[in-house]
Amino acid sequence: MTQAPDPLALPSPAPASRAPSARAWLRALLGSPVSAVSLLWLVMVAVVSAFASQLAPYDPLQNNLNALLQGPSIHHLLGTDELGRDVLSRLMFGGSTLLWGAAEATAVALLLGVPAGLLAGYSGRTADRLLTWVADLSFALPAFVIVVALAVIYPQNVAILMGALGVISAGGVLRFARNLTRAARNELYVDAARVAGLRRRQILIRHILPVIAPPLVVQAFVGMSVGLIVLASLSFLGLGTNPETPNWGQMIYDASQQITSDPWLLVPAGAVLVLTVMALNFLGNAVRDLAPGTRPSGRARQPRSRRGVGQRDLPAAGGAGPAQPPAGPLLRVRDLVVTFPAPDPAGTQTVVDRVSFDVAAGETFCLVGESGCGKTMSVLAVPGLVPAPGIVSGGSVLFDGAELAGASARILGKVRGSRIGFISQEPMTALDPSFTVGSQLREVLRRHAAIDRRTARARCHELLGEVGIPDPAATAKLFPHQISGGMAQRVAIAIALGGEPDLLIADEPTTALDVTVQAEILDLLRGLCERRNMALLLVTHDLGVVADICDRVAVMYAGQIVEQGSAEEVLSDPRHPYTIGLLSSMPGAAKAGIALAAIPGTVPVPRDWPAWCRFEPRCPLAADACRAGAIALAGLGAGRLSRCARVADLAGER
Amino acid sequence: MALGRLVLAVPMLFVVATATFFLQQLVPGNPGSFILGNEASPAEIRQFDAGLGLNKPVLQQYGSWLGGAIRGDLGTSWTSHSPVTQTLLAAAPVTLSLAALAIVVIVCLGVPLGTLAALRPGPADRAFQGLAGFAIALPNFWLGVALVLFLAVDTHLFPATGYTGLADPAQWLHALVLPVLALAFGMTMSLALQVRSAMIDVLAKDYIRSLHAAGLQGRSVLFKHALRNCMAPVITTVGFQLLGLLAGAVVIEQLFNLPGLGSVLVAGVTEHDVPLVQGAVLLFAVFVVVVNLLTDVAAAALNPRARGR
Repeated sequence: MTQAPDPLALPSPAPASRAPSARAWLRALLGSPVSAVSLLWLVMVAVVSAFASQLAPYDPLQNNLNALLQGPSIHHLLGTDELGRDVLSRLMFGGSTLLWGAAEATAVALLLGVPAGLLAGYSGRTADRLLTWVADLSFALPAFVIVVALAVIYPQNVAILMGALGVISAGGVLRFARNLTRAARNELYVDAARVAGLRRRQILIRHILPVIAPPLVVQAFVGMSVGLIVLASLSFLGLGTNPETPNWGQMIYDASQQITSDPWLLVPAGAVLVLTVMALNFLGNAVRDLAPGTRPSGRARQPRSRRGVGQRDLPAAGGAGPAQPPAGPLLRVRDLVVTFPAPDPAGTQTVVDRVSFDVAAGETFCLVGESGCGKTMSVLAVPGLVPAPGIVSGGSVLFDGAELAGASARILGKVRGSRIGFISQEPMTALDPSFTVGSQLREVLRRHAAIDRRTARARCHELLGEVGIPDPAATAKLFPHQISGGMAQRVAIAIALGGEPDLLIADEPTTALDVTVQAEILDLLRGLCERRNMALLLVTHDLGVVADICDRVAVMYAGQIVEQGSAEEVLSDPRHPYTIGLLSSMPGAAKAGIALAAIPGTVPVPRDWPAWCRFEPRCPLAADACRAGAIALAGLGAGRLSRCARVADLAGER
Repeated sequence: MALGRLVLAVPMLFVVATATFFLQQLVPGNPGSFILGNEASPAEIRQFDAGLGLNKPVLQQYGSWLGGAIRGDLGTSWTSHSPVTQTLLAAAPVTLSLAALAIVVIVCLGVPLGTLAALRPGPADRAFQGLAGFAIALPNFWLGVALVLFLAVDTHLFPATGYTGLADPAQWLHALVLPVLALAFGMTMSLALQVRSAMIDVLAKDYIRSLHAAGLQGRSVLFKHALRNCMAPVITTVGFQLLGLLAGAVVIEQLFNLPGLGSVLVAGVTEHDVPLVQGAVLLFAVFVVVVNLLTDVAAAALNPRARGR
């Protein structure tokens, strides 16, 4: 049998939101040409099959011994078969048995499987276990073989054979519906409905069924496609349908008997069957991709497009430029631009906009700002790790004199790990789950130094000890899922240190950790930087971290640096309303009896960035000057920079 | 997990054995008239039934069928009167050869193809997806007929039908090329699609970026880490495909006239030979159980979480 889409390959059931309205949904579905053509084809096949007796030019069973095995002609558009019967007419009649049979199997599977799945997913353990057991049982049956075997008793009885297929397939539907229901019942609005005292049946029908319906529609398409192939295979074997009623599978068998005399006969029936199965599969996939809470099966979605703001609106490069740190920079980033492709006419969307900063050897430099400011993209660009389809489309990244922006994989490979280390935000996902902690660390160590296994092992334990892991030998043997988040972050740091880098880039290294662990990791990082004279480029949204560990800081907002200076000065004497906002919304700034301040609104997505001051919509000091045009990053002396039209009015604001 | 499956396997086989036995009870009238037809005299029919013990009470027949099945005795054919077990054992190597070769082809082509598609976004990937959509929808029997037409009838490169035993490996392989191609084509593309999406998922993971950031070269990251993490979904798919192969073999053996289990099953169905059909179904069920078990064991071995501490 041809492999039909595997039902378990469907997306993990995670309905996140309510289904959209049916009309919007249909419009989205038909937006893709493939789905539209598929739907059109299926409708055509259904209509032609339903009205075959009116539409067909000939009687499909009418022999014509004067017109045997003729090729396509005016009289017989698709030719005639070995008995002179019109192929087109036989095709038109040949769909209905297959479609009805497939529909029957699908309907039986859904009618048995969905209610049982709802019950299993929503009721207690006993019912769930029993039903899942039955489902597993049916899942382990050789379905096609059983249907063939039943033909010994019920030869050519489509209703019984396809009904049996439906019963066996119901187990798969049951399991699928159960998992969807399980996921849906844990959603908050279902909890709310339960607390509000709705009855179980009401909850199931009104709240759970609509959420699990779209994936079940996908199941219906899969079922139809499998049913068609099964019935066509049965007919090809001569077991499915009465030879007197033509169907596509039977026609392919007939054609196979004539391949030496008339190979053409294979084409029409094969094409119609393939196109119908393809249309069902494509539509099933399209429905799956549209289902709420599921991810498209393709590549990662591209970020939303940016409209209206063109390149001309970009501010000129900061005239003053960041002040040179005294030691001469190890890393020198200038006018860095990171863009993602966007479907709109401009074609790109800028997420990092002319960012410039320096990091001196041994220095700790922070990029701070809310989520969505472009901090992470800015630092990922340094070792060339901006995720596709994003690109560094402008600017320069000079590391120890070498240009890394747009550098080849070979050059980047030489720098990564050995000169620049990297730690990411989520320690648990930053380690490969399939390998032990020690094996990952040793692999990195051996990449950077020509050492034998024994030395690598010793070095590995030494490093794990250095990052504060109490029993390095035992920990090295563990898999990532066996250690805590704090331990995992220590391991990630050890891996980043494996090549003895001069610069460590840490992207929110403490965000995912417990508060107590956060302080430990920060202490560890500070200690490591001091001991190794290693520079640290740290991304954080936490000003407490800045105060704790940083020498200098750049505040980012909406893809731009809005303020920069020494950490002490920026925190004690902020020169940008955004920094002031961040500072006053820190819990530490709270005064008893006064509500904690917060910056109203959120960081806009890139396409909504204003052409003037990007913070203006949220700024308490916004004035006409702020809307006059893009604001430049201006030097305030002593290494201080600010991008604010009203910077003069800010002095003494706090 | 694997142990759970093993525990499940026993009742499952019991249910299948019971269900296949009662297939016989669905025979209209009695077996004698079913086989011998309407022309047979009542005495002939009685003699046929008595000869096979089919006139005994149902429960007694069930008991002896089940007892026999456990010992590996699946009864006597109604038409050839030879032991069913013997017929099945003679046919099994054909089906197993077909399935084994097909799965080798599927894995050896599907995994690299899917990986390549994941690494080459753009037109090549889209063309691959279109081809895969077509390949998955193409019925294997249609492809089989077309292969016979082009590679056997027209060019005589391969035999159109027939099977030679493993005694002559070259002949054996030669005879199985077309059936294996027909069987494997759609499933290869379907596995490649699975590998492609698993690969795209894995390549977007944080740890892949971390490995790159630590200076590991692209090839090591791809072949050691990314492929390793794709294996769990791939193994599950391969397990499903092995089951699909057993079903596909029923059609393909018929088409290429291979004397395998599928041919035995279809012959039993067309000749109303119920014991032969029962035996074939039971043997297929045993294969399903074994494949599921192997899949679970392999998936567990690949997943450190399931391996325990």
